[in-house]
Amino acid sequence: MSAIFTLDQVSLSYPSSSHGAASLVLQGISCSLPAGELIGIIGPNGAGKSSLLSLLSGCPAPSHGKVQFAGKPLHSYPPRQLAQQLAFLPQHNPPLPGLSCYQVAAMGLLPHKHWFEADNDHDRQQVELALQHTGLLAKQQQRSDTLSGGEWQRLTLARALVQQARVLLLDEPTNHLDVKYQHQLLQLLLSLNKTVICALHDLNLAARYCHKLLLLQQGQLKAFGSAEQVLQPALLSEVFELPVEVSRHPQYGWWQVNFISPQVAK
Amino acid sequence: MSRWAGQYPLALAVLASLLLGSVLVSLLLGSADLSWPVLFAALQLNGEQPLAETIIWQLRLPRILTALLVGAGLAVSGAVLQNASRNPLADPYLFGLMAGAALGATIVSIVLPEQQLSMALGAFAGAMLAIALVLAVAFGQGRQRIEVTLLAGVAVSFMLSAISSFILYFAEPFAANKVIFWLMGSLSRSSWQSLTLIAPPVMALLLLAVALRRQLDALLLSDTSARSLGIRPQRLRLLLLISTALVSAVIVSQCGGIAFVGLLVPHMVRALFGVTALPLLLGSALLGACFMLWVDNLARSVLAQQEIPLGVITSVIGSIFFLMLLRRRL
Repeated sequence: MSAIFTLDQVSLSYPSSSHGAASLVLQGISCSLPAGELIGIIGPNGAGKSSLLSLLSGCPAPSHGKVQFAGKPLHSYPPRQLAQQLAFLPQHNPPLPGLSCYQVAAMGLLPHKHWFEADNDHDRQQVELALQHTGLLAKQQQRSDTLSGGEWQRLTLARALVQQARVLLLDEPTNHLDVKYQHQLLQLLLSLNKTVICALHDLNLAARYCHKLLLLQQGQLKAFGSAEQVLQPALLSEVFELPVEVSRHPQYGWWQVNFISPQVAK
Repeated sequence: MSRWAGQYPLALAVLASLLLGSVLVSLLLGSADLSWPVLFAALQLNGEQPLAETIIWQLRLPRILTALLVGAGLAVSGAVLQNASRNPLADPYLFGLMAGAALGATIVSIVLPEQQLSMALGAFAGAMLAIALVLAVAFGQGRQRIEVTLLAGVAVSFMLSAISSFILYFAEPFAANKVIFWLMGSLSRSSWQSLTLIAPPVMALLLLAVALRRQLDALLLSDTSARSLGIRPQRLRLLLLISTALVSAVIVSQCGGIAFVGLLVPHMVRALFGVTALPLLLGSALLGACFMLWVDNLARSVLAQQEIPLGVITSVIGSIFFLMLLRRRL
């Protein structure tokens, strides 16, 4: 399968203090992310999951190294052209007071519209379809700031679907969702036939739904591959600093990760 | 969302009709008593009513059209700035424009006394100086934070006002009277000439804002989300800041400082039509025009021999409105 993203020795640093000392959040990452797959970025807090997703969205640019998107340098794409191909949903995405669910989802039309172009029937169908996919069609006229955290999360996904990008970058998309919607959302992402790269905290969800996993620790790439390749007990134990058991579900064969609390391990 | 958000085209049509009616009524208001038949005859310019034609075409119509453009320009500027900054208190005058215009007019009134056009030019230059100072602080060193822009506006306002006060304190005793126009606002100097100066930037801003309506909506999201929709938020914000500042500088140089319109009208429109940019912009233009027209009608008709400065009326209405709003929300 062809690579949609190719990272070559990518590092990212942010100025961390007023004295200009830089903190390195990503260090020397090299990998090729295949097109058309659901890729889960996993790792403990502060591993660089959100930073990697931001970098793949085009902002910020890497401090060192190169990022290629669909065979061209990522930063050679004009913003509008990039937005037609790539949708990014950041983790912190505050609700918008006063806008209806339909209006929020319809913002995804922006990269496809010219200055004075009005919405047409096809656009309205796109928006309604995205709301239907995310289970919010019945609430399309409801104020978006009255939604629950999980519903708002699904609404922002609807906006990304309206954007019709072939790549979705999602930072913790299952946050605020109850178990049912977590599974529904990941099933939906699988059914889209798009490249989806998402940061996930729940390793069991990641193991069950993602084609590939990318494990980060302190900004470094520790492993990249299938669940079987990445979910090695010794490696997970080192990265998450907890004893861990990895097994397969006896009936369905999914990989299951169980961390053992230090007290029990003793 | 509001009650009328779904039917905003109808509501806009009602507002437009209200505006047209207000213009016709305003043409009748003034010290010279005109009747409806005389008004319609004068509007046709057929020479039957030479005196009425002069009153209507040379005095009242330029003033009314100026009121419409000033109201629409300030209200649209406020709506654009509030969406672009995600701050409901953003207003074109927060750039220190009024203080800058007053300083420019003060300097010209002392260096070049009795030069009407030069004072307007001085006011424009002063307003532009204020904008330049604010933008230099807010956009300097490669970072841009909207709250810095607003605070820089307040600081620049105080600084330029202090310089004006210092100059006026040491100038001739009546110098302050000349500058009061730029501090309090008035449409009494309206003419076809001033109209040709105000109309192009106001219309250009309205067109630009309508063209960028989707981008203005997207700016309500976080900058990261707006960027993901293909926008360069910083560049867009700078374009909008400069455009609204230019429009406000032209208005303040011709009509003086008319506070609160840019703050008050978009708030009223949001309550009626919701927060999406298109109804907000069109509603602000229509309601801003209508509001300013009636404020000017009030200013020139309440006292028999004297006009009340517009800034006084808009400030009274604006402050009462905001106090009521705060009371309802608290």
